Amino acid sequence: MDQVYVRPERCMGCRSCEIACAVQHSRSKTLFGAIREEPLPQKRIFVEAAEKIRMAVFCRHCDDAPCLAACITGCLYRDEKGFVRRKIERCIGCWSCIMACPFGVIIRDRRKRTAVKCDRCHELDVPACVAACPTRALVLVDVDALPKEKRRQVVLREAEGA
Amino acid sequence: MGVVVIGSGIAAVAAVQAMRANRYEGEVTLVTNDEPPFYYRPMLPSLIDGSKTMEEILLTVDPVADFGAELVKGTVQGVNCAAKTVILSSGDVLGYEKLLVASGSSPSFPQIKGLDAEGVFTLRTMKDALGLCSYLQRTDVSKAVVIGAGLVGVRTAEALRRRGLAVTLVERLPTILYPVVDQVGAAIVASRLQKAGLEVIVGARAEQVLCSDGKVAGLRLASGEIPAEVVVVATGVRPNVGFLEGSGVDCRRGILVNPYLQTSQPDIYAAGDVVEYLGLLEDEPIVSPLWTTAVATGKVAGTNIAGGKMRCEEFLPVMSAAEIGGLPVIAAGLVAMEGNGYEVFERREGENYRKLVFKGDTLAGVLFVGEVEGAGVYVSLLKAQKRVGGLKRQIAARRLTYAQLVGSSGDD
Repeated sequence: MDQVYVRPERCMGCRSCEIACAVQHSRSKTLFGAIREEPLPQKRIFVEAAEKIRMAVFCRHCDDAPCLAACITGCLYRDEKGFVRRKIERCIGCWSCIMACPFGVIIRDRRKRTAVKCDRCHELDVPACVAACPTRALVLVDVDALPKEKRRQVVLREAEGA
Repeated sequence: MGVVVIGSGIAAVAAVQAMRANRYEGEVTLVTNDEPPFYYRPMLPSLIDGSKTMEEILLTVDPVADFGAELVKGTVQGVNCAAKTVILSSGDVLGYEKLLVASGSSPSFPQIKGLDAEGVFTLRTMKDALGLCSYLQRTDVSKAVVIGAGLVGVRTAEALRRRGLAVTLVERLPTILYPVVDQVGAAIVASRLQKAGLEVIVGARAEQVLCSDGKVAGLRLASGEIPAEVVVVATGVRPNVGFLEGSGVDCRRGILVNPYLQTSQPDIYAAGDVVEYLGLLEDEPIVSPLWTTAVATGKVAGTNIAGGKMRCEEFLPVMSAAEIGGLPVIAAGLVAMEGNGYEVFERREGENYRKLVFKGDTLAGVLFVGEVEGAGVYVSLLKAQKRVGGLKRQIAARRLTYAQLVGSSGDD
């Protein structure tokens, strides 16, 4: 499966991914339409900065997804492409998924009282955040095809972080 | 023969799913007296206020259709470990190669009179919920009392209120929702409940359910009487292990297991509310009747029954999320702990409240009320018992982000 992969050393913190994500999840799907929508569309990717690092943080669509295991309503499910998505009409806003997500990338739609998360732009070939990244800090990679050593490094870093 | 599973709750279902995922292709038989067998138990309050129908809270996974399990309706009376059989109260006997006990828990009741009156309910099963719903329709019911202000009690009280009843919530302890929230959090949430029109009485022991003509007429407390036509008892649960007495499966409060969720009988596993297992934050084994525990233990037991070797993570006493009185609440670990080597960081702005409890360099408790976004980052730190060292003050003062964890992972 193709995964969105972040290379923090390339991230400038420009937030293009955040804007592209919000636009993609707006009704008009254009920037100028989106900024006039009421309510404003919500982004599902977050540029975070810490002392030694700057990076976009987003849903990993984890193999053993904690949000999916925590969902008490049957709202979250794994689709045929392997993405963890919402059957939004089932969500009651219990926030169990927010409690479970170790990346902190599930948020609330405060008006509808439902959980909001990345759907990996399942209808697009390339997710909006990846397409918008000007420095290619966000890339779409087939993790299975990554050279073994590179994959080991990625896994190690993730493991230390989590 | 094959695998027999006692129970049909989410632990049982997660176990069957894990067995099939781990290529166990033999027979699986689920024994249950729950009807319907598969539903989202925490959604039962949504039936009371009518926000969901019964069909809408049925599980989206069906072990029979999706995993080829067989369903046997019945009540388990005993287990014969030597003969490797499960004995049902109907007299039927089921043989097993491996047995999974996922029999869940039952409501525990206070020792008071009048609990047998018509109009006394619990909210444990779909049957309970449907019974309560039809009772609310059938008779002239306008006032309800809920005994016990844990999560189930509070959510039930809210649902009854939304349905238009006058509702009094009675709690024996000095604060509601203990030990999910601490005193400060409880006060914030309680004031929301009161604004929604609920009456909340804490520090009051229920003394007797008052009856008239065999029907509920109210509840007596030391301080007086509350008139009501319905009483809902929500004073916690205890593991369903009675049928194992004398079987040779070691039990205390729950069933004792090793890290692979094997009981004292090597062919018998346990999962869900019935398990008593090592606590992550306590020295003693604990039971953990939580959805997340049920899913996790089901997966471990199912994997191991299928021949895998998966260890179970230590239990947490609290791991809960809910929206109460319109306020999101997320809590994990020992939230209400203070003193005795615990270091507490609190921050409150209006109804937004955040509390972190540290024991040494590791998180022992996390409570978010109001703004709950990002709580999962803290919860995962707690679950991993990761030493945060120099990050402690930063974590407490600001919002902890995943990037911070990645950025700091080199220097501790």
